[in-house]
Amino acid sequence: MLINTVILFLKDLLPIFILFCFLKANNTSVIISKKTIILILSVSTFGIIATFKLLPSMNELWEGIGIEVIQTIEILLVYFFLVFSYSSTAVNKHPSVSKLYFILSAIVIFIALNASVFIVFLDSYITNTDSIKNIIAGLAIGLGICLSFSSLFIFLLFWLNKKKYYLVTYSFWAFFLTGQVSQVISLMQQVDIIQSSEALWDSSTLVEDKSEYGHLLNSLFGYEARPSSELITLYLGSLLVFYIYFFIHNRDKSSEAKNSDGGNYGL
Amino acid sequence: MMIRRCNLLSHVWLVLILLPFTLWAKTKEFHLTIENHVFTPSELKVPANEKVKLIIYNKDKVAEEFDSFDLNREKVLFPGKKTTIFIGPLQEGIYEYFGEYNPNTARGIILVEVNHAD
Repeated sequence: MLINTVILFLKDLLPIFILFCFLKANNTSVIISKKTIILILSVSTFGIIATFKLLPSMNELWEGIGIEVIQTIEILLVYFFLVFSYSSTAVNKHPSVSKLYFILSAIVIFIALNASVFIVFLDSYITNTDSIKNIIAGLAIGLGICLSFSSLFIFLLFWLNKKKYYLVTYSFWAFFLTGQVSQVISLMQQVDIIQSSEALWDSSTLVEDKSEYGHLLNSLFGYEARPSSELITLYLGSLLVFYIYFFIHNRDKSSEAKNSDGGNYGL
Repeated sequence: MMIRRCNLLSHVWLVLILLPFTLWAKTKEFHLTIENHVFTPSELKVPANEKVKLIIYNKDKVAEEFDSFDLNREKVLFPGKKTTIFIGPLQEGIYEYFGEYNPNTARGIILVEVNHAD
């Protein structure tokens, strides 16, 4: 039970920690006031509770495909909000107020989406067992691992930014968000909206999905040991969008810099 | 001439609209039940190279999560509710699944057979 709590904590909540690392590393937290942070936390808490309460009803919608459809919409909203608002922040570090609203909305949806599933698990355990001590210990270990990993990851992101390896930082961001959006394929295949095809390869001998590394890599860039062709197509398509966006943005930025003072925007 | 073309077009549209439903209707259904954190049957036989519909009933008073790395499926099973998951087409073999909240007791396999008898 202890190990199970830790694994589920990592699986469901580590992506939230990673998202916050990216926000912190690109100074988004500097321009978000304390009042806004309290607002985000309040709305997120409400979102988690509301989603948790509504999940059984959502499950019944549209002949049992409600959760998958709604989660897909939420994931796509987070993806598009962050691609076109936060990605420019990752490139030039100056988000406009309107873009900031999209970022905040994406954060709230992302937290509610991931944390509500973890609350379902907690609710199931707490009502079913007397082993509260194990659950608390599991939560503490899970939190410890997430905080330790976040500290190391944020250090790496800060170091990359300091060295002006913006393309590397941006690639981490692109792979993270692509990994998140690629989940929609499994959701859609699960309810037969998208046809399932056989796995293109099997890398489970290297890293198994169910291992700790599998969960970590899944959170970081959506690792799957046996990906389908549909998943790979979406994955590559999403990465293409990110890099086209980066190079167009970078080209515009370089030409602006040349026009103004002859400076150069480094990668 | 115009009326005939419209009729033909409406027939084509009708076929196109109904085709997915016809295919969907042919999908074979298989049933699983979870009770006292144990899946029954623990070994479910399904045909190979065919998409199948898995209907899972949760008779427990708490939620469980159907999880399978082999099948790449993951879905919360709410108490007292039935849940539908589509799997396949799969190659012949053994595919493991488990209840993520009670992995020690809630375990089972899906046996995919080429010569599957309904």
